[in-house]
Amino acid sequence: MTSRISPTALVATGLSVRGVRGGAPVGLTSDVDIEVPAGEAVAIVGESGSGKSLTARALLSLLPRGLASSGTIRIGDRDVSLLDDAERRRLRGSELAFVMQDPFTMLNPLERCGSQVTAALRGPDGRRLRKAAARDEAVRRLAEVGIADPAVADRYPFELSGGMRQRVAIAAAIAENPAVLIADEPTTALDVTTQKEILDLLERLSRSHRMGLVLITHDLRVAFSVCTRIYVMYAGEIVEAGRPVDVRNRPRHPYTAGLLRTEPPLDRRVHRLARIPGAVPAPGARPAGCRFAPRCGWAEADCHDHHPALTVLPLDHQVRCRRADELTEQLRPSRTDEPPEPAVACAASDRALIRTRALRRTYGPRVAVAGADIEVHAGESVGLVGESGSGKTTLARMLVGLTRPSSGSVEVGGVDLASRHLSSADWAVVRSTAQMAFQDPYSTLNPHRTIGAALRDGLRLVGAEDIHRRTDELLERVGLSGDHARRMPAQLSGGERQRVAIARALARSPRVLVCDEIVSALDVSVQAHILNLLRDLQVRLGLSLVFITHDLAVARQVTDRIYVLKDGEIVEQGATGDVLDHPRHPYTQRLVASVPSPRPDPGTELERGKPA
Amino acid sequence: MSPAGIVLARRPRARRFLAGPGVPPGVAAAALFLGLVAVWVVAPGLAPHDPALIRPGDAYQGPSSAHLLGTDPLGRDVLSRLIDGARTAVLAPLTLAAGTIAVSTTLAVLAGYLRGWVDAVISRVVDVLYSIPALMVAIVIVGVTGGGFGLSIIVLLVFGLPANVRVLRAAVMERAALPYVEAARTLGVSTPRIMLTQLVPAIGPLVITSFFLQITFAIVDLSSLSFLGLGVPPGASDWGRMMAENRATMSANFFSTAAPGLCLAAVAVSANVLGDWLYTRYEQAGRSR
Amino acid sequence: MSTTGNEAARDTAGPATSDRAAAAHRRGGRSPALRMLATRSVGAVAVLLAVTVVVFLFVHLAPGGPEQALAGREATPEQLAAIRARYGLDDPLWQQYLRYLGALTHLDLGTSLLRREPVTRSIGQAAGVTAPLVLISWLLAAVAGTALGMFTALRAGSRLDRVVLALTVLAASTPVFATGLLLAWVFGIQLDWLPVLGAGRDGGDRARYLVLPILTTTLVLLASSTRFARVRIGQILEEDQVTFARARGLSTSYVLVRIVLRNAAVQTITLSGAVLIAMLGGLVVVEQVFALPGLGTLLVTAIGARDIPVIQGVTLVVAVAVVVVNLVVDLLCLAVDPRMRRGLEVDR
Repeated sequence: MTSRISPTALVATGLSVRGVRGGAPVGLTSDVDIEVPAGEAVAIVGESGSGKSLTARALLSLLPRGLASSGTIRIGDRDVSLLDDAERRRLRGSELAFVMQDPFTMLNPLERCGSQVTAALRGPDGRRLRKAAARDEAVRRLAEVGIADPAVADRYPFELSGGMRQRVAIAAAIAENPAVLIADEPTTALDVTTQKEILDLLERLSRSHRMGLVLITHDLRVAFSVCTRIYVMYAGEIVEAGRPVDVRNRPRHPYTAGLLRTEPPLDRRVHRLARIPGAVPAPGARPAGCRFAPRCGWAEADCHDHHPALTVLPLDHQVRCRRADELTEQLRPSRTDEPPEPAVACAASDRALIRTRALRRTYGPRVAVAGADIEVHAGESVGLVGESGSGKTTLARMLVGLTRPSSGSVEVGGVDLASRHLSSADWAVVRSTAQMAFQDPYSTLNPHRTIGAALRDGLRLVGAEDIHRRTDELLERVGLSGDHARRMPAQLSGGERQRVAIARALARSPRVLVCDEIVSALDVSVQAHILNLLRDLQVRLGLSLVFITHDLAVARQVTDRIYVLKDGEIVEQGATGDVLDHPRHPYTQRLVASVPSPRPDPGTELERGKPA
Repeated sequence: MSPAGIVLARRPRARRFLAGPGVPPGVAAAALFLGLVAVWVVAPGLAPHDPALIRPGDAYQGPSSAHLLGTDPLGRDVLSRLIDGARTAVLAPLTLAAGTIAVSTTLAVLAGYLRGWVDAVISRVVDVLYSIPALMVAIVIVGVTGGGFGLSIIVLLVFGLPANVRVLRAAVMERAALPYVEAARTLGVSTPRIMLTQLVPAIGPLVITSFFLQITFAIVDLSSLSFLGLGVPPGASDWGRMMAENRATMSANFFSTAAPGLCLAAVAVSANVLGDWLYTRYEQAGRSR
Repeated sequence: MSTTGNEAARDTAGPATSDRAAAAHRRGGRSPALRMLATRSVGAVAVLLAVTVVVFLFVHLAPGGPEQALAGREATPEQLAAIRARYGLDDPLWQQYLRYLGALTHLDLGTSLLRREPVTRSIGQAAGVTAPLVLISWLLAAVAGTALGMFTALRAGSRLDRVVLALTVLAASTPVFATGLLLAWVFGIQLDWLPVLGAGRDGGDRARYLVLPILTTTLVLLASSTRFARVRIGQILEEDQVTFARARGLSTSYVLVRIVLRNAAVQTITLSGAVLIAMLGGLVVVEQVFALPGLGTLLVTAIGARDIPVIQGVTLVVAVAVVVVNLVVDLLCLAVDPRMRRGLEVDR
């Protein structure tokens, strides 16, 4: 308990993780210094390949087989990096706790929740708790994390929702009252409303238990809303660290500035989303000088030659950049960058490409979509926004004919997909009106077929002559080169695969492209590429979009009108800006309020995300 | 179908580590397997003696320069019989395996993708047949009717289908739900085309590995039948039969029993390892980073 | 990030799962588990009845007609007529079938042509040899296989792991009679430690005679049980729930027992049942190799001698055994997995 008295819960110095890639030893992360004050939260922010998760594992000494870490770690006053394996294990749970990303796989499906929460607890005599005592303890702990119903202790995880499972996991993790809780993307797999609840919970627990919280996330907004210190990681090292207000308003590193700019804003629509060109270098292929230099717009010759050290700036701000002082003003995020893009006005008399009336889909007793009325006109971009279970995906699938409606009508290009019999001519009309691109870039393409084969499937159906030239054209249209046609999906990155998926959908030259969460699984910088591509396609091809997403900020950037869905019903609809700035339905208001907003900074002007 | 057959699609990840220094086991297995097939093709020319020639005077001899592996209870040269038996030892299992895989893949793709009544019928039949022990049924049917190889193969095929169909059907259903198949449907690709160009390549690695695993079980089951004296005529130089006939001489001439046993195990093991190796290769090629 | 994030799966896994469980609860009366058991039992009875029909038809499909099958090949015309009268073979088929069913309920399986004793007695004696062989081998293989699989899964990638995997391949690929003969040669002939042929007298003597057959059967069963355990436990060890448990400082024994074994249980039980059933053919071979007077030898001899009543009887016994094994497997799975008890889909 001595760790509780000291003001710093955890200090890591020079933490590095090494591994072996392709037979040769390689550094995965280097020289990471983290300080976690007791009772406060710090965030480690980065995209994939930044090394943030490895750092978390290294702190817990839970690295995968084959990886080793070095550096010192102090918990309270003790230097724990000198301890042997058995003693490190004793620290886990009692001093250091860990919560992972996916609440659906974290808990043992065959053990009751209460018993999992108290599994690590021991009575004063050092032995396991007896059943009755254990249950009482479990009920108490569950109440601490906001689960008031004592019956939950007797339930199995599969009987609970994702948010509740995450709470149970948190209760289990902090059961022994540790000094530090490390949470690795704890809300990524949850709905945005649940996300807010869990983040609030973590913050509350951190304060009440005087527990240091290390939040690992890729979402800058989440980091700004909860933490008092931000560490930004790129390619295995910390490139910037500081208070949220400083990092947000005065980023000193080009990468941080880039990340801030590529984050789609919730409050306005920008003409073109900023992006960071290039890709994160893999561990074995990192440049000798500054690791970000190849992608940096301000890089000079010296940047490529010398690896910069972490310099300390006033107000406890650190940055790893040679040119940090010179670039201060240029990196400032500016709200007057671009004039807002006017929404595409479409005449009400335009015939709707897609029109649904009282569209309904049920699965036995469960209602997935309850009577939806939707219209999509030429040239416009329509959003379907909602959380999981809202029915937005089911609705989208009915628009392209993947799912048959239970009742109601859905007219695509004039053909009603709900009619009993559809001729092949009818289907041809539907197919050339609406096509779909799917969410997961890693399963959207058949891993055993080439890119070209995937594209030719569609081209063949429209009777294209000179099919190979047409394939190359399709690829170029989405920003890829013709020789991608010969490659296999495994050779492409996530963003490239989504481009191919879009190209495949365009093979039949549809009027409407239905995009089912196509950027949700991508890093923010890659997301911007794809969203810009969609914008281009809209302008060049006159393509209409039906864009399904749970991310309101993305919806703001891409859509002209949105429909907000909850439990299968459309609760609100209208022009995107209007709905998001002035939501009328209580659910929409809750959704907008749940988007993480920056914490109020002491002594400075309050900055909020959006008024409720 | 032997017990190991049930562990059809389970590949431990440690397999990747099996490629140690020197020749990867997969290549070695391929070499062995192909070598034996070659022997089968060349068989008649290789045998030093006539495998069917009975010379009671030479019976029960140990290995000598004239008879490298000795003679059996009827004075026949063991080595010649071994080489001659390579034909049935390889041909029959290959036929059985190929047949089983062809039929079960077709049924699995139809059931797994078309669903509806096709799936209902196929699954019902498979469920009923699944619990019936194939080898036992083969013993009863072939024994009672006195049938030959052909009947053995048919019975083993029919009763070996259920396990295969189940595994492949599950794999097809899993892949049919993936976006790339749905994308093909959305584009309007016809159902037969989807089954052929999307699903079959997608389960390709599994089918190949099943094929080689089926060869292993076919060898085990067919040789068990012939060991019991079923399915082969008495004079045939079948390896299983040889082991049954020569066991009386085990003390005098160990090789007359050991040699066919070793050969059986060798073919079966090499098929198994080859299947494993091919699966790992294919799976890694198809796996994304 | 969960890239297999299928929205639909997320949709239903949360509140809808508890909804579905509740719905199943309401639908299935008190317990979907009982409904499942009831359905399986009815199915089992149906299967058994179907088997009795097939077995009954054996007699009528045999060459020479049913009276020849019942009387044997050397029967005289008078004996054939007597058989026809006694067994009422001129009655309609369905009447004969019902009589057959009736006899079955009295456990009357007819008389063996070869031994001239009630089939029930032959089967009873033979079962005294086969039952211990099957049960002991199966139990040994299940326990040893799981233990060995767990041991190697914890040392995945090590030399030991590779060696054990290679050995399982060898054991699975070698025909059971080859393994049996090899063991017989090594331990029986060369070392002369154990008897090789026959079953000995009861008790301790029988035990000696059964050692080699049990060893042979266990080795073959071990191949699949070890391999399966190794793969399944290897999978579970990679799962998030194991990392989370270790991150809480829980001991290795907690992880192995409460997490690994419990999560491996359903599939292990299902597999053991399937393995046992598939092994029945191999048992026949093992009994032949070691000249054991068990059910397998009984069957083979009966086939050779066209002793139809015995063939019928043994087939029925095997069918009953298969059905019982399947039911037991279902029961055990229900007992182990609460998801199955709620009627939800579980990976078997």
